[in-house]
Amino acid sequence: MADKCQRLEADVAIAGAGPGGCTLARELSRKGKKVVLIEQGTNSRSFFGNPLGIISRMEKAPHLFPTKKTVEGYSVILGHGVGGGTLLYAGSAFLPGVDYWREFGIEFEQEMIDEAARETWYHMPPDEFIGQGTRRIWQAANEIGIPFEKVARHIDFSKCVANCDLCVMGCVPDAKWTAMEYADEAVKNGATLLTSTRVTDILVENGVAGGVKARGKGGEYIVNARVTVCACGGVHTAGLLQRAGIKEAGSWFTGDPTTFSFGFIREGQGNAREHCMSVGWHDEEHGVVFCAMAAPAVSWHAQFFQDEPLKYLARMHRYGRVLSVFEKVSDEGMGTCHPDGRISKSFTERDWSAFRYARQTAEKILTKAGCDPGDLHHANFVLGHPSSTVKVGVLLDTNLETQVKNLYCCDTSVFPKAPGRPPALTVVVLAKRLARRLEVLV
Amino acid sequence: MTGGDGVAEDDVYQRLFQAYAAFKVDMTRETMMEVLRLQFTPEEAELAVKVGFRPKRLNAIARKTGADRGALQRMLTTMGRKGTMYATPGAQDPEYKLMGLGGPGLIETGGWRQTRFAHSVPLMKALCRWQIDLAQNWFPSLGIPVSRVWTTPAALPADARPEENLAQIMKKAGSWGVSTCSCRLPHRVSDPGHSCTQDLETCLFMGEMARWGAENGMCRLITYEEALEVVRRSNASGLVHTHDPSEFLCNCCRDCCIFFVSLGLTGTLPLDPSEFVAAVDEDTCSACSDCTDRCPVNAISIDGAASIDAGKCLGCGVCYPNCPSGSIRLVRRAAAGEGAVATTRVM
Repeated sequence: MADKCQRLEADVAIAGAGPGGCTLARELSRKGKKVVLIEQGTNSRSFFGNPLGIISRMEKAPHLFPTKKTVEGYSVILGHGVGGGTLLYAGSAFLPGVDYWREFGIEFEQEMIDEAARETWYHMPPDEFIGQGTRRIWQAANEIGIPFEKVARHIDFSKCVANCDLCVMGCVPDAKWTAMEYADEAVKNGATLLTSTRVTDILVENGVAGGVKARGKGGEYIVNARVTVCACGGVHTAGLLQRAGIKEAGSWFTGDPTTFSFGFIREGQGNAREHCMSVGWHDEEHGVVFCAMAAPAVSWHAQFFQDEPLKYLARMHRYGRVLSVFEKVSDEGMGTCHPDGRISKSFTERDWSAFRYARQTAEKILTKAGCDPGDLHHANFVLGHPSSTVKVGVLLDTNLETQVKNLYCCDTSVFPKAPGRPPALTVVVLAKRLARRLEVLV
Repeated sequence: MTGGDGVAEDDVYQRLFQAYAAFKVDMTRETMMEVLRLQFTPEEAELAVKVGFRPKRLNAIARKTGADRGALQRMLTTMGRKGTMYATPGAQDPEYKLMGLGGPGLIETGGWRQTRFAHSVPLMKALCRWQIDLAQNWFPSLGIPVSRVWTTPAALPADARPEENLAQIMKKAGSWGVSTCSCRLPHRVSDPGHSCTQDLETCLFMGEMARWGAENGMCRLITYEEALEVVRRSNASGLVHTHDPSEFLCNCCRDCCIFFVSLGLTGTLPLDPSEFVAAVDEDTCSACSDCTDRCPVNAISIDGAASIDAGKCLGCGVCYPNCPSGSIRLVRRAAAGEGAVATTRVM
């Protein structure tokens, strides 16, 4: 095997081409640094806009369809392919919680946030993109005193199509920002992108990281680098760091359980086929995010059928009249990514009370909006933001460096507690901040 | 292939050990080599290194080794029976891969196939030494738990979700098997005076694993009801349910289980607690101290009435069935306190 092994030299080796890795690769390659970016998925836009788009970009457990699961059976959503989590997100943009991060000693410069927002197509949805059903939810929420308002999106509305709800399946007109944009730019600037290649180990010698070992389509690679960055998401970063000798990486796993509540209206149009996530509210007190969003038709049919088959059969033709609210709860860190690749996740009483609150509030909104209160449904939740496995303040210093010198982390795993709000923009800002430090260092 | 030449033989076991070194088991090299020497003949070790941990079909293995397909097939089947090679159960052209370290792995397969081979007794002794070595050196070096504890189904509170109920997860698996506990058997065989008197047949296999176990003589198939009865009986006799009910459910005792041996030797228990925690109704508690004797982690103390240290409590439900006054119930953990945050818990 040794003769097949290819050796690469780089200033920075980045494991994982999600929003963190791609941003970092782009920033550093702009400054003329030699970057090697390694991604286990592929770099393609095939199947965008249809269900295969979402299935092919989700990481699957062996022989299991379609997602990785915890031992308890909760689905964990992991992006697979250049773009990582941004391939699967709906594109809702929340600015980083400046106070949240200040508590843990990380200060964001306003300029950097503005720059990141501009580059990731941070826009408020124009009025014509807010459909009738969404307006109905918005109005109902405001009437019962829940301050729904427009939510920014990572969407270029000049390219976007008004009555399209395919964000999560991959945007056909390329109106949704994904980290692919940054990856493309990094490659143009001379960065090396290895796809279908998995980082198997981090090379550590005497407490200093010197690159990564990877294996994939093109054989085995050894990338010698002055700085190594783990950006392969909450689950895989934990595994890599464990093997690199950082104990406790993988503890405190949080997943931001995400669910839909929906009901049916008698007349008028539901929000099912409308532009999603355009209005919402982040309830900081309970740690819940509400948005008007319906699951795309395929996942709605599949999930509803799985949860309540009989009720589904009686209601399957009424997808067009669905009013649906999306809820995301920030959970506590009772979970572990075990060394053998299994994940376990428990929820505490506090998590469940936040969950109950979220569902009750959603029910109130839907009832007010005209849904039949006896016919409200809640989808099973999925863990949408696997994170907090390599916390800032415990395993990372405020520069995101681990106890191993020259080994950094830059993805959702660094969050000191559950993100609670869509973390993509925060990860981009964290990556920009890290890039500024690394460009001096290497 | 290597024959009786001592140096070359050592070399092939070294290479096999290197394949397993991906699990960072360097600190248990000596005791692990003993097990490798007993479980693999030099020819099998040679083949094992070539097959590796990635699934391969017979054709691919034949291409890689250049060996005759028939001979290869016989060898792989023997290795399957020994528990050193995993093959997809029920397949015409199964995918083979080298057995990993644990869950399922070399740690357990020796005990599961019980004492069917000529070298079984030395193997049990070697396994026992290796397990103690792993418990003492490997688990503490990991820093995070390797598995989790499950609350016994009978003790679950009414608000428990199906995902938190091991019985419901087991039900989905479709096939079930039971086998000898792979921790208890090596301990019993190597130390006949061992104090543990628990049942031996408590290791539960589910789904594909049960079918694989039945094909390779690792377990016998049982019905779902029988599997639940094993769970109930284990709980009643003070065993803790651990690991993954969709594949394997361990029922662990304090004396032999690799996790609890680690607790005894090093003070670290490499297990995540369950979602629940025991709570005592102080008005009805008769302070009989039955639960303090049963608790595997000494989380219960008696002071007029039993009181439970929620930071230590695993939420296993072992204390639940025997309480004469019915004062113990399980409730959901209020919050992830410092002790309960999923790190290895030092007691």
